[in-house]
Amino acid sequence: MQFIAFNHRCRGIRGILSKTLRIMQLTTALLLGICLQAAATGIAQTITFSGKDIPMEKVFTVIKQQTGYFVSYKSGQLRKAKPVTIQGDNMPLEQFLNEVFRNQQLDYSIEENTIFIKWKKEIYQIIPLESVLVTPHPPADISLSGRVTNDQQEPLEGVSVAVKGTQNGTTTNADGRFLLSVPSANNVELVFSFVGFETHTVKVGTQAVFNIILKAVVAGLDDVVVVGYGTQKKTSLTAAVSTLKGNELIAIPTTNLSNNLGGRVAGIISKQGSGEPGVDGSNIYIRGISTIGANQPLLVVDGVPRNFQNLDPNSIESFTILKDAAAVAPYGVAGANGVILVTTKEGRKGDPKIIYNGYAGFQNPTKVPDFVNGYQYALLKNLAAENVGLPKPWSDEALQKFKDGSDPDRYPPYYDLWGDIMTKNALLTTHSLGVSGGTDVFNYYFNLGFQNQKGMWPSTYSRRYNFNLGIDGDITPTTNLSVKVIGINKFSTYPPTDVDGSMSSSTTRVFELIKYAHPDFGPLIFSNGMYGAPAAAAIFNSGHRDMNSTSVFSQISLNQKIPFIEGLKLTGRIAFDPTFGSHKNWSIPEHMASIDVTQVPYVITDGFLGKTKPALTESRNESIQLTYQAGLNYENHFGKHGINFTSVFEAIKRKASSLGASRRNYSLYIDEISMGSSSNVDMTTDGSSSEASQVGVVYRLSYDYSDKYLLEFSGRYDGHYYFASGKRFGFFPAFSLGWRLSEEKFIKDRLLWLNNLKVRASYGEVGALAGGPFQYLSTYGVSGPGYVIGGSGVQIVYERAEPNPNITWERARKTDVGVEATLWNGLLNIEADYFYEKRSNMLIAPNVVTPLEYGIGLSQVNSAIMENKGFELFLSSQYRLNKNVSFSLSGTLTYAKNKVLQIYESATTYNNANRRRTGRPLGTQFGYKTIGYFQSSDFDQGGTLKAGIPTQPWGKIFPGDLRYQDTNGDGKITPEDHVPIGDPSNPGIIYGFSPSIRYKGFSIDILFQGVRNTSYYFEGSAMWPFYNGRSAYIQNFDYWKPDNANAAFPRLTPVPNDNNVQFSSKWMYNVSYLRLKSVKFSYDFPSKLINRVKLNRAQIYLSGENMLTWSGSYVSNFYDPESVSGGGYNYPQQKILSVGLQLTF
Amino acid sequence: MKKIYQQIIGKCIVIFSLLIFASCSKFLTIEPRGQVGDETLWSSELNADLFLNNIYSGLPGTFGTYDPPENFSDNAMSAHSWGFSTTTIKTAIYTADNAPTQWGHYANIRKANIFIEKVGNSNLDAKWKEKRLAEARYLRAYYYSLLWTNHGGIPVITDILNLGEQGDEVFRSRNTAEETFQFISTELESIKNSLPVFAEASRASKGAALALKGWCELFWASPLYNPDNDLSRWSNAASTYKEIINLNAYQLFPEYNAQFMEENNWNVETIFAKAYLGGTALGASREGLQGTWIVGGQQLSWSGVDPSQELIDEYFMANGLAIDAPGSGYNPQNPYANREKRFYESIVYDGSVWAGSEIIMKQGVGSRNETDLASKNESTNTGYYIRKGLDPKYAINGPHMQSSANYIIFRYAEVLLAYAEAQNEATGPDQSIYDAINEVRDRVDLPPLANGLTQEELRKAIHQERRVEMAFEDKRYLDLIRLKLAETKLNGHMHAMLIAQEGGVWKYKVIPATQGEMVFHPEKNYLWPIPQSAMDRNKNLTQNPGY
Repeated sequence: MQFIAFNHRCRGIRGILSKTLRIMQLTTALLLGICLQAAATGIAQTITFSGKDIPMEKVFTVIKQQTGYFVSYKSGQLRKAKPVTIQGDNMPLEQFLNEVFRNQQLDYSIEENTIFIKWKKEIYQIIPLESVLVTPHPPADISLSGRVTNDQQEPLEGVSVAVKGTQNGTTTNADGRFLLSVPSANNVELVFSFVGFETHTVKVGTQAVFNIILKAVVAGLDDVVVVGYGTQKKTSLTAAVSTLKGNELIAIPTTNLSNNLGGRVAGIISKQGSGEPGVDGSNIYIRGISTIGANQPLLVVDGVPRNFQNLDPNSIESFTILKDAAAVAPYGVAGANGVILVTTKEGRKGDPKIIYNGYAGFQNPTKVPDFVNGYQYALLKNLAAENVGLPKPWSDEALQKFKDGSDPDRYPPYYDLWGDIMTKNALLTTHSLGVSGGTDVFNYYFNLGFQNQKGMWPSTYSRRYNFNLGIDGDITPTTNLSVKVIGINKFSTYPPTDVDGSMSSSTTRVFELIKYAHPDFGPLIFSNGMYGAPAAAAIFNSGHRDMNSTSVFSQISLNQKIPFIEGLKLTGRIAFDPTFGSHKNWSIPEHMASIDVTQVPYVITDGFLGKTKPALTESRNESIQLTYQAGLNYENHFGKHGINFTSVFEAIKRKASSLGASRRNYSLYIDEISMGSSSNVDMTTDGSSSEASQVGVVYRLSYDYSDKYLLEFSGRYDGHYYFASGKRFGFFPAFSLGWRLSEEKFIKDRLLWLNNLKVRASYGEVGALAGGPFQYLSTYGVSGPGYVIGGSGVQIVYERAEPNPNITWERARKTDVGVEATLWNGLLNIEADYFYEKRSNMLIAPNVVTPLEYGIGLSQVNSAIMENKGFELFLSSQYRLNKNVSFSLSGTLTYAKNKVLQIYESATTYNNANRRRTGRPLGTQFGYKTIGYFQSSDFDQGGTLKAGIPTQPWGKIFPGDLRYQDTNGDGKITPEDHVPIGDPSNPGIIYGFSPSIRYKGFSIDILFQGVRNTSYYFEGSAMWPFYNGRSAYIQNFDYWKPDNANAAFPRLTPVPNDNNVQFSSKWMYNVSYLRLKSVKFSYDFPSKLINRVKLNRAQIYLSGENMLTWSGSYVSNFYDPESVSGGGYNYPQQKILSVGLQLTF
Repeated sequence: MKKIYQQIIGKCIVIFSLLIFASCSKFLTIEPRGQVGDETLWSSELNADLFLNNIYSGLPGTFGTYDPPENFSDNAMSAHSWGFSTTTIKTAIYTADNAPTQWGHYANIRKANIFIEKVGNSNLDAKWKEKRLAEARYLRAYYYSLLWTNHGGIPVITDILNLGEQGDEVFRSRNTAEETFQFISTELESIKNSLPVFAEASRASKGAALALKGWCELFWASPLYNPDNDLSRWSNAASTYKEIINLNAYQLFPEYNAQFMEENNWNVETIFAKAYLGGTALGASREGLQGTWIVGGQQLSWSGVDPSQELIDEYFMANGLAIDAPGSGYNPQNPYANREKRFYESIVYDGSVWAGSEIIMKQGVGSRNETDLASKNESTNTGYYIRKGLDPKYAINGPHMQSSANYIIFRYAEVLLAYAEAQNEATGPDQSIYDAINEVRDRVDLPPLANGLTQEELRKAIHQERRVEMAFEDKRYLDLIRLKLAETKLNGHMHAMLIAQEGGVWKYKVIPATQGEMVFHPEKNYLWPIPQSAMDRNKNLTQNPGY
């Protein structure tokens, strides 16, 4: 087949148009089409077909249908094809084809059962391309053909076969075959290249048939990795860096990109605290927590500090996680907590490639607590009253009515609380359509994404639109200009915040109110349709809180090679990132009806819970980040010496402002700010602005000796506005070494199974910002109104904390030792790192050095110290059993443990070895150690505790109350008896393993993820049923009784008992878990089948998220062990099952 | 062409970089918004006033809580079974770790010390300075009085503590209770004449200074600190109160309960108050937090303050007699008939109307207002709710912050009653005492006290009058403390009114209120502990006995 370098620019764009149209038709028709096509199996060598002015494409379809021959052509070729008029009756194929091509500019050839379409010779001459012009009129063609296979004799499809030095070339078909015409065999070399395989070159000579075996390259070895302010070859890295391909995440029903890194990438410890649409991002800790201050990593998208969480996964090329000093030093004062670099996709040379990916998923909470039903509630209340000798609040008759549901308004049965308030199988849908391609001088990438996530109830949902555009081109032979624009719009809505300020977060409030859904507040909804228990109105009709944000990441980058100095280029980038946000909280009176049972029939009267008129709060905020980068890069080799030097100057400026207004007492239910009461006390306005700046110079110098001995210096001279003039600039250097043992002769020649072995080490210092800006300034703050004087609100001026002019950044000294190995051609990959970090200069308010009577806190000082150490391991293995079956398995393990070395600690805890915070992991939880319950035998006849039992100060003790350990043996329980009772709330160990299996088109990809070494303190309702007048859990029935001495809960009382709610080990639970984080079954339709509908790839998949969780923790009976926090008011994690389709044209 | 073009681009980048380098330090200099420096702040009266506003803003008020200090006393309890007053204070199980504390007022004291020093050293208008410095000193004295009455002697700090300059000097020891009292009363004496008799709303006046001084003197004269009953202390208090009466600046507001409503803020009776501003974050929410739980089937409040039967029994009969006095006409089976005006104006009881709805406390009628014998819900545990000071138009469930009603700290009726108390203790009965107490009784249509009472009888009458008149104004707890009555009044059980049918007849029966248990340890509970957090940070502090 003759490949003609047609006018790329023109073809590219038209191609997009025609393909886009085709996608629309084909996407819908695909599944149907597959069935129909599969039925057309009769293969013949003759054709019966007649018609006038038939489009060529249609003719091809007929040929395919009747002969089973595959027709191979480039889409551009058919544009110039004339309609065909033909009359054929059992006409032999060849004759038929001759007829068809008689008056065409096209020609054909048949190879096995494929018909290749090519241009006729005349066309060749009129295409004005350089390579053609130098050989104006080639002599007669020589046909070269052959087959390309891998080392297992399996055909490789899509291998590029090019004539070296020309634009003449083709690709192999599904059978690995190619056909190519060359004008002459003299000095012709064919270059066979294919992704994932070593490029192979052969001289043509007299040979005309070529059977080529391409050797697979060992996966990953040649990868280029994005690092800070540049790229490096994976093999020559001396820093600790992990990567993840964006494509690994696209088929997983993930709503926030931060939620799929934990367990998948070594070195990331993550915790997702909420499953709430729009706000369900995870906290990510690279190598755990190393500081008492801000502990989140720096996030960078396309080289500029930006948040990646809401990008469309389909638009992500790769993630790089920078972990050690050598990797993060280029980020200076911002790098100490690690850096996550996200690179978005760019266009690549080639025909337009159109990818559609979409799925629809169903969400359900992984776990919601089992509340008691109406009957159980009343029963438990009765039991509690009985236990303390009070009259039973509910009669037997009432209990019966709860049970049989015969009087649901007065005795609401609450059979299925969650079912009544929750939308089951809430929908999550995502669509993404991307186009990419390019020519020799111009590449483009475009992506549109949409995600719609419904919530647990209609008042909660989130929608996101993503837009990506990337264009780059060589505007001169030495100048590359690239423009990227990313737009994100997200709209989320929730039940509103109560304007009275009683609840700070609406979702928290809803989950609190759900705990008040019990018979004492009536049914959720009365039989006449009025809302009963307060959760109903809050969820279904309380107004709305809308969060809308639009972010644009835009940047222009210039890359200029300096022609007269080999290997030198200059780079420049300007990024302009505006963000606009709006927040609208429309809170309407919440209806809560009540029932008068003194009348028959009952009278149910509507009423309000709280305010009686609506209120609106609205605010707008905008921010702009401007980033300037100018740099140079020099890369060259001198014999065995390789040098790579990069330096970048960077300046970042951010400005932000906000403006808000609120009004209350709306008469009309119209949520416009100007429609509310215009009385002064009913309205407020507020606004603020801020500015931030940072400037720095980055450098990195890498040196290698024959690719074997690697040495690198990197760092940054950085300045930040947080600090006093003269204290603003700092220098953050790092150096690292690497030794590729596998390049040494004694290994390379002998241990052939060892493809790669590298040891590396790094050491350096980076910074971290903590606290807030301007702590160096001695100024007073202004706020208000803060008090009422003369009947009006007045501003107040307040003393800020005493200034600290010496305040500066945290210093992180990081050490890393790592080893990377690839064995048996990728059967085993190992990457292991040990890390140690000492973080000093941590900001801490030295309040304990002043008396409480001091009256104000001190500014923070740089004096806390902690260390963090651990290891991480990444193992992977790929094994190909045969052509049809392959397996892979990878695993990650991250272990991090920190230790506070120096903080300000009061003498009370410091002097008690059990209570001392210094020397323990940050966040270690302290409290009383529970030693079971008091049993009846601990009391004398009169009901008083027997002598010798330490006294507990929280009122009178009864059998079934919690008993605490008298640690210091002084005969009484006091805070001096506290001991460590729990791990920090963030995991100390996170691990993952992901097996996958491929069989023909089928594959299964699984990720198990687990964490250990973390504790959760179960407060509030868990400790005492009816806490604050709430409902109870089913588990509360397991309370202490003389015959249930080892119950889960202490004795049951109608009112709380201070003794039993002390912060103690009783309520501290380990929350280790292992979960089937994601699982994906996919099927790729065979290329033979889909090629007929012009598809390169079609995959359908079934994908699940958080499908199963195993946890030994008692807490997992109530909540998801990952996302539980506080009193359990957070939106639960979601289990998502989705069906998706991915098409590539 | 191309080469030139490339060179231009290259040069541009270099020049661009250099330009930015040159302006780096300027680039990093950012002025913080919303902050002012010393020069600006202390150079104009208007600016400095903003700092004084902040000292005022520290005034404590209890209109934002469902569990005010009134619940620490025998006057009321919280309907919330988990209320701090119920679970921890009344059962006296608090420790230095969780006891209520006034220690936070050291922040306000610091503010006052700053203002006093900075304004004192400024060149601002002398007249303005005198008045404002007196206000700051008044506020400082007030904050010290809160610390002193609750914790006893505490470190009296009048300078701005500065660790850098003072080093270990910042760790002050406790002054004695007497030293603390002397400091407060001396301060107030020395500033009283710098304050106007008629001050702008919210600001300290001369009357406010005297009322605070009188209160501290009364506290100092009372049995807690005056076991030997040094009569000169009582007469000091009496003469200070007399000074207020002689100012002729105050009189009783004609209507007892109306004086607490927002429309009557800063009326002739109010001497000093914490101001609220409804509809803003500075608004008061007393109705939604402390008032009647369910009204007309609708929850309108959290029912934070339920008056006790003990308090109800203190209200006089309309004929001026105590219910247990012979001939009072009190009928225990019709207990709410013929009571005095303040009862009807202060209490929501069975059959009374609140927010347009009749409140039924009777058992077993299916009303959702039934008393809460098993702590089933948030309805009253005693059979009563508070009415006094609550505005039915703001009966909106929760912290709605709609009300602008003042939280009155000192008012003239207290001055009259305190005068009567101090004078009675100092000299025994005299006409000025009768005049004072009868003025208070007269307002609510109670007949004057019978003449010729003994000192003891008069003392009892004054205490009862004070308890009723000042109910729900957070005065009772400290009165029990200073009079050393807490060990009797706060030990035992609080009571509730059960109204249930017996044989077809509604019976009124006084029963122990659920969770109405009261414990008071006289050996330690007369003072709150010094908070453990303060003990931990200052080795020079000594803990109060028993903690």
